[in-house]
Amino acid sequence: MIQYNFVKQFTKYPGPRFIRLGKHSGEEFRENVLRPIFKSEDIIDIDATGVLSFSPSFLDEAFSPLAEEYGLDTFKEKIKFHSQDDKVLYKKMMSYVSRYLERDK
Amino acid sequence: MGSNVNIFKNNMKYTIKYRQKLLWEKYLRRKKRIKYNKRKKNISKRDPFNKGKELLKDYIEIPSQLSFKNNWDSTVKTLSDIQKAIKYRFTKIKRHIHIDHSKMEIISPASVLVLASTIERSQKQARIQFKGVNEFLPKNDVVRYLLNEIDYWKYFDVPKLKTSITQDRFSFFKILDSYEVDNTKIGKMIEFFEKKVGFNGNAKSLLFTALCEASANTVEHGYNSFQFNKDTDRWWLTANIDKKDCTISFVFYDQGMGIFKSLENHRSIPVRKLFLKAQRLIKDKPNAKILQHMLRENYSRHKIKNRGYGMQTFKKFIDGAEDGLLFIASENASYEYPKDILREYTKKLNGTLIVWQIKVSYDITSNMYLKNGEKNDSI
Repeated sequence: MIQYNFVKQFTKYPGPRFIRLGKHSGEEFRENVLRPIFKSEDIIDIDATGVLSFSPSFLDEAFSPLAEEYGLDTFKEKIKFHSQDDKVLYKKMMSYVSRYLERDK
Repeated sequence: MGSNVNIFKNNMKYTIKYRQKLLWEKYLRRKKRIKYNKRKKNISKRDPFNKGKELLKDYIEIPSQLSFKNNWDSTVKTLSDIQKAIKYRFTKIKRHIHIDHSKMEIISPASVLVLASTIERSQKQARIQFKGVNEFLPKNDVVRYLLNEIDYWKYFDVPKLKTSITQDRFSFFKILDSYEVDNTKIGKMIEFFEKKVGFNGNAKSLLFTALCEASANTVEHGYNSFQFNKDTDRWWLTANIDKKDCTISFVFYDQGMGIFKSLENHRSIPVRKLFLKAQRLIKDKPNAKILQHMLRENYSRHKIKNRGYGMQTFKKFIDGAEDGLLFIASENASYEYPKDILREYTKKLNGTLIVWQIKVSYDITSNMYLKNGEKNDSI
């Protein structure tokens, strides 16, 4: 399992949705950090303690397309996401993911 | 006989040629005159300063009260005069203009930001350097202090003005600006104020999200992406604590096309149709009502893809603080939340202005904390 400290390894101030809009975007996190995990056998444990706040756009863009691409079960197995500052962060992220997956239904 | 006929024929030929020449010249003169008149008409259309007495205008007086809430029309007119004057006079006519600040007595933090950003953007567009003239500097102490704090005089190459007001009353943050979504700048500004005011965890996070979404909206929809210019197509943000009135305000401004123009030119046809239909069907204050609805519900074409929630994050910070004020103004309309005040004006603001204001309390130990109470006007 890969331990990932979000503040140290990515940023304390998560950015916008797309790379073209600014630094530390959800798209950048998905492509550079999460996608390689899905291509390997690894599991990632993301500790987001200390992050100022995640915008809905960041959470949606970082996680939802992968859940759609690899399936919700694989997604849940591969990603652990928590923060000591925000106990409901995982729930929040999953709510965006499920709303995104309902798109095609 | 034969030679006479030939002479006659030749004369006729010359006469016809001569007449043709005359007609051709007449035609050219007429064409030139039409072209000249058309050009003259277009110039006067393009440049309002070419109309009548306005031609002589090289002096813009900033009114005594620069405030969007109490003096919208003259505030917006002044800002638009400055923009037009700088743009046309320096790029085409090359004459001096004078901006007179001496009558200024009241200026709201929102107006400080909009005035400074207007000067900055116009200066960059026209590529000119301003010079300060003593008689045109403000005489009012509060105005001098606020403009000093925001580094306004750097545009005029003037050092900070002397003022009797100290930091006891105001704690004013410098202007942040960027052409992209820069969450590090925004986050650091929030942390700076957190030390002074002491946000609770949730308010801080809601404010961060609101400011980030505002800047993302500007970058994505605010300016024309085909003619994007990093130097001028930016957003500006500032914040201040007024210890006397016990308020903290965050002011965000962009000089883009405005919310309604952006909806009118939206890439998605259903969004454009919905907007135009709403504008046609709503009889009273259509634009203000559209702003009200955008804050309440998600009308974006991205609804199902988790998109279009930007505007709703604006009010979450105010809801979270329990007692606050959100003011959104774009083009000719404004909306105030939660008082639900809709306004439409005759003059159009260039771009979009958003103000979040919450009441704080100040105690002797100089710690400020969030508290319910009355709101004042900083807009």
